[in-house]
Amino acid sequence: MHLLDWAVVVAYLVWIVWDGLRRSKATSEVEGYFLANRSLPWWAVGLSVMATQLSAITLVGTTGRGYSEGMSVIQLYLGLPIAMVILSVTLVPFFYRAKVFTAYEYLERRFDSRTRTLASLLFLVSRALSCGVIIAAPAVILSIVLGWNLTLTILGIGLPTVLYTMVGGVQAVTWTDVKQMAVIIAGVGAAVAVLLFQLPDHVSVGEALHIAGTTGRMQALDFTWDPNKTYTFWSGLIGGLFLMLSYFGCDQSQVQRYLTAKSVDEGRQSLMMSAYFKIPLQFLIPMIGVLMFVFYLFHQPPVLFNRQHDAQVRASARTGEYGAMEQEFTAAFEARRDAATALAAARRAGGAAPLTAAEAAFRDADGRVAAIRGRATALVREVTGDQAFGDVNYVFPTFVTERMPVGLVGLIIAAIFAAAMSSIAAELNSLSTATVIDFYRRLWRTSASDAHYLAVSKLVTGFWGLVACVVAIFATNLGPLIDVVNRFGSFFYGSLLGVFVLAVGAKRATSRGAFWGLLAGMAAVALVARYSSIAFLWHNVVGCVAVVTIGMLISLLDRSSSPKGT
Amino acid sequence: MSDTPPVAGETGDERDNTRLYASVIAVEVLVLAGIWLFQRYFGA
Repeated sequence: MHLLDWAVVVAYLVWIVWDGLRRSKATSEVEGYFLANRSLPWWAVGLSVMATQLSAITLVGTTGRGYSEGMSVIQLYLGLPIAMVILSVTLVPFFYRAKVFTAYEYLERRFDSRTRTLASLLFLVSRALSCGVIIAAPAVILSIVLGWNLTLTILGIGLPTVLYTMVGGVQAVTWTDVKQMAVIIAGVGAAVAVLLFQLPDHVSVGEALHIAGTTGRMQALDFTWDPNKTYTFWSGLIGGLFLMLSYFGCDQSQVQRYLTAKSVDEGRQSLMMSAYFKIPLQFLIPMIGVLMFVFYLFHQPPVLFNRQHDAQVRASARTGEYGAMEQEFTAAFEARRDAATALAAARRAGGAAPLTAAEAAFRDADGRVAAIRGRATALVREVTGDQAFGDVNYVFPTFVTERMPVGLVGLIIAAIFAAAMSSIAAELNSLSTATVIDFYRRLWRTSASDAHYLAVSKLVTGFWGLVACVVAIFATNLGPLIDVVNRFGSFFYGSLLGVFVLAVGAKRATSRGAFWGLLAGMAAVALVARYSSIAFLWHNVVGCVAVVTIGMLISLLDRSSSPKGT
Repeated sequence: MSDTPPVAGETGDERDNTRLYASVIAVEVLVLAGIWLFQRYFGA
C-alpha cells in the first residue's frame, strides 16, 4: 500500500478514536453511559442504526456476491421498511414508556425473571460470538490481500474500538457511527465512480449493464416460490420481515440505538431513516460487484483472487495442473472479452437476430471462464483441505488494492474498517448494558452507587472487547465456528421475536408459556435446519410461529398462573 | 421497578404518524417498481 493510503487509514483511526474519547465528558452516570440520557437527535440515531447493521462482512461479502451472482442479495432487505413501521407502532413506544435499559428488562415486567434471564443470556452468547466473527472476517481478508499480520490486523480493528467504546459509552458509539457512515458512503461512492470511469471507451454504462444482464446478474427480484432458495422476493419480503422485526425489535444492539433518542417520536424517525434509505444504499453495494464483473470482462482477472491459496497451489505437487489451467483461463478470458465487445457493438447496431446471437456467444464464453474458476476452486479445496473455501470475498479487496488510484485505496480500507468498527462498538456497548443491567445490578450488587455501576460498565465493555478479539483470533482458524455462530443466531432471532409477540400482543400469554415457548421455538428451528433444506430466512418465521403457537397452547393449559396482562 | 406493565396506545404528546408510515410504504412500492423496471430494462 502507498504511503498516502497508509496516511488516510491512520488519519481515519486517529480521528475516530479521538472523537470517541472526547465523548467521555458526557457520560458521568450509568444512564448517560448506556442511553446518553435519552438526549440524541433522530438523525444521529438513524445513522447509528444504519452503521450498526452495515458490517464489513456486508461491504466485502455483498460486493463479492454481486460479482459472482448479481443483484439478487438486495431481496434480503425487502421486509425492512415494513418492519420499521410495525416496530414504530408497537415495540418502540412500549420500550420508551417502560423506561427500560434493555429490551429483556421488559420481559421480566411482562412475564418473569427467568424469561428475561434466558433471553438476555442468549443475546450475550450469540452477540459475543458474532462480534468476534465481525472482527475476524475482514481481518482475514485484509491480511491476505495486503500481506498484513493477521493477529495485528484483528487488534488494529478491535483495540481502538474497544478503547473509545469503553471510555465514551453510547455517546462515543453514536457520534463515531455518524462519521463512520460518512466514510462508508464516501468509500462506496468512490468505488462506483472509479468503476464507471474505468469502463472501456467503446462501452457505455448502459451497454455494460446490458452485458451484465445477459448473465442474469441484473435480476434483483426473483418471484419464484422456492423455500429452498436463499434469496427470492418472497423469502425477502416475509422471512426478511421476521428477521428485521427481530433484529431491530429484540436485539439489544439495535434497541439501544433508538432508546437514546430524545423522545418516542424521534426514536421512530430514526428507524424511518433506514426504512427510506436502506434499500437504495444496499442496491449500490452489490452493484459494485456487478460493475467489477464488467470491469474484469475487459481487464484480465486472476484465476483466484485469494493470493494465499494461489501461492499454496503453486507450491504444491499440482502446480503443473494449475499452470495449464491458468493458460486455459487466459484464452477463455480473451474469448469472453471479444464476445463482450461484439455484444456491445451488436446492441449499438440494432437488429434482433444479431443481438440474440451475440448474447448467446457471450453467455457461452462467460460459462467457460466460470467453469475454469470452478475447477481452480475445487483444486484449492483438494490441495489445502479447506472445504469451505470460496473466492468471492476476495474480489473487492483485490480490485481495490490493485486497480484503485492511490489515496482512494486508503479511503476504501478505512471504509471497511469503519463498517467493522461501527458494528463492533454498538455490540460491545449493548453487551455491557445487558451484562450490567440484566445480571450484575439485578443479581449480584443490587444497591451500589451509580459511580460503582459506571465503573463496572466500563470494565465489562473492555472485558467483552477482549473476548471478541480472542474469539476473532480463534475464528480465523476454525472455519465451522462461523457456521455455528450464524446457525445459533437464526435459532435465536425468530424465537425471541415470538416471545415479544406474546408479550405485546397476547393478553392470555403466561410466563410459563413464554419461557417454554422460547425453548420450543429454538428446538423447532433446530429440527427444521437439521431435517430440511429450507433457506435460513424462513427459519425466523418458523421460530416465531412455533413460539407463539406453543407458548399460547401452554398458556391456555396453564391454569396455575394468571397472566399479568399487556 | 414497576409491577405494572406498560400499556399500549398513544399518549397526548405524540404525533399522529399515519402519514409518515404511509409514505414509507409508498416509497417502498416505488423503489420496488424502480428495481423491477431496472431489471426489466437491463436484464436479458
